[in-house]
Amino acid sequence: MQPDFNELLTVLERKSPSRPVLFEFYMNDNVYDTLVDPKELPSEDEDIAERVKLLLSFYRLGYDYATLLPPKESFFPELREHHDDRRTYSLNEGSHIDSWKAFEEYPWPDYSDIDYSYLEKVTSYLPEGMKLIPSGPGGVEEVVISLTGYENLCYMMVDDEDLVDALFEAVGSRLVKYYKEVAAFDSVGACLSNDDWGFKTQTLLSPSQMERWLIPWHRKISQAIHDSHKPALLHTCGNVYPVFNWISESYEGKHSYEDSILPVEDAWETYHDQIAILGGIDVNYMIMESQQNVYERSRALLERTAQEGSFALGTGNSVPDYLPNDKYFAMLKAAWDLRGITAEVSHALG
Amino acid sequence: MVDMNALSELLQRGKAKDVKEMTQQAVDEGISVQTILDDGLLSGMNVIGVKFKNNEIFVPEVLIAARAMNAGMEVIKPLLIDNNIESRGVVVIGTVKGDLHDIGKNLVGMMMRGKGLTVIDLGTDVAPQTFIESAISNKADIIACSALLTTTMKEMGNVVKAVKDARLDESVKVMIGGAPVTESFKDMIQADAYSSDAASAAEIALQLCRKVS
Ligand code: B12
Repeated sequence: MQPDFNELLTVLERKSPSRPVLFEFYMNDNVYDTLVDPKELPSEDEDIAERVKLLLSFYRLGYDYATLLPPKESFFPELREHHDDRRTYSLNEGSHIDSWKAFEEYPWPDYSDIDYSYLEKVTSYLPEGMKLIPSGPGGVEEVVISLTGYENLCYMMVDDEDLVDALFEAVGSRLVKYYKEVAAFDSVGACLSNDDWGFKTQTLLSPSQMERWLIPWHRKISQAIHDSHKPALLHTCGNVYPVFNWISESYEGKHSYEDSILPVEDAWETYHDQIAILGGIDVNYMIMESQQNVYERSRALLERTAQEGSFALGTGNSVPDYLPNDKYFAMLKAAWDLRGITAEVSHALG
Repeated sequence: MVDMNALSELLQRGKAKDVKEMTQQAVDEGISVQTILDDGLLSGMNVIGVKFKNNEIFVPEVLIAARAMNAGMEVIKPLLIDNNIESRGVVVIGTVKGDLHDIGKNLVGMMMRGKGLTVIDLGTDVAPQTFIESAISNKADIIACSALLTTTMKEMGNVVKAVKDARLDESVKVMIGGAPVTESFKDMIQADAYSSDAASAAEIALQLCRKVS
């Protein structure tokens, strides 16, 4: 089960890896707890223990990297009411910044003072051949929406453009700094910029709004990552196909696919010459279909893409806690079988 | 004399203040409320709906236009009642139990209002029984459910079942939508209608109301 980050790099160069490669944003505790015994984790530092738990999970399932959440201090404080018992929340709930006064009073996180030492501390647990892929504390658009509320932001884009400029600047400049810092670490092999831009039929902001407020920051983020000679990957959901060129001009890999918008098979056919297609088996499909169907679709996709490459197998979004482990493992098994590591992984799964 | 096309244009451009003023001017000039409603406000929203469905405009533009429509509606609302102008149908809308997403639901509600339907918005995290009670008390033609995750989408089946259990299935149609929802899921749970976008949802709702009543 030897991990080899170069295999993922080959995919990101839009070439064919020597064996199937897996890609996931993150899984959930049901998965991590199946794979890792708490006794294996360092007891002195809870934050590092959490990160090592993920790292070992990714390793044991056959990935060549592990994703890494950003440090707590980098998150933009949410002043909205919390309801942790609930499953979902509304994109309108952020709405605390709707005036210059609120903008100035907001407790902006101090990015000049963030401790990134976890990127070194976890290296002793990093199996040979594996690298880290840090993700961001939300993306530029996501964070701005969380600060203003979606509908409020739409009104502000007409009513107070200067405030919108200031908001994107305040968030974007911090995220550029974050990626610049994390990309420079030796343990980091690539960075994941996570920013949901679309929904079922179009983008959440109009292309002209995106061009004015959003895309310049994504160009800067990818540049910050490229400055350390690392590939930049974008996780973005929804129907972003009309603005796909903006993605492929800045990023080496695109993650997130939905059958109701464009099935990953079609996305690969259309775009794999332009950008590496990462993940893609629709979350809804994985829940609704049988294990056998999930396995067969995943395997067919791996076989279809084997020669030309530019593809890594994964879910369309992430592995949410309502996606049963068996379905997730059925998808992975398609890659394990082709790599001849099923017995080895099954052993780790107990 | 206020030109209804001009009113519709202003609405499409999201000029809430101007729409309000022009609507008031039209009322003062004695133009019938029905004309202001149909040829000015709803006609403007109709264009917005078509453009949105064709991806010629985007949600932010829809929201701005809907805000302008509401500004005009506020002026004529009391007159609609005075003139006994009936709505074209009643829709009870909500995001299903366990789900708190509301952007899509709000848009569907706006577009339905833009078709002249009365929309009762129950908010998010709405239990099947709440849909039923509201449908009965408001004499609704349609229950419209929104959901964004597969895990909450399953609640829609419970709403369909609750409608049958309450023997409302003759008079109330169930419409469903949201990110993971598809036509085949609609068939599976035996709901009455599905659409992938808010503008089509409003068109279908209007057709269903015409059939129901
Ligand atoms: C923004 C977003 C987020 C944001 C914010 C979520 C939020 N609270 O609002 C963040 C980043 C936080 C997020 C998190 C998650 N997300 Co999310 N998210 C989205 C995204 C990109 C857009 C949702 C949105 O705002 N849409 C905007 C509105 C306008 O669109 P809409 O609701 O679809 O409505 C339109 C139509 O559907 C229709 N419509 C809507 N309602 C109705 C009703 C009727 C009656 C009719 C006829 C029509 C209709 O009309 C509307 C306008 O045209 C979607 C992708 C997508 N395809 O939508 C994923 C998506 C919903 N997320 C997904 C997932 C998995 C998650 C997480 C579970 C990830 C995880 N592992 O933790 C979490 C769960 C969060 C939570 N607890 O709720 C999956 C769901 C998969 C599934 N089938 O279950 C999606 C589909 C993405 C994907 N790639 O698969 N998400």
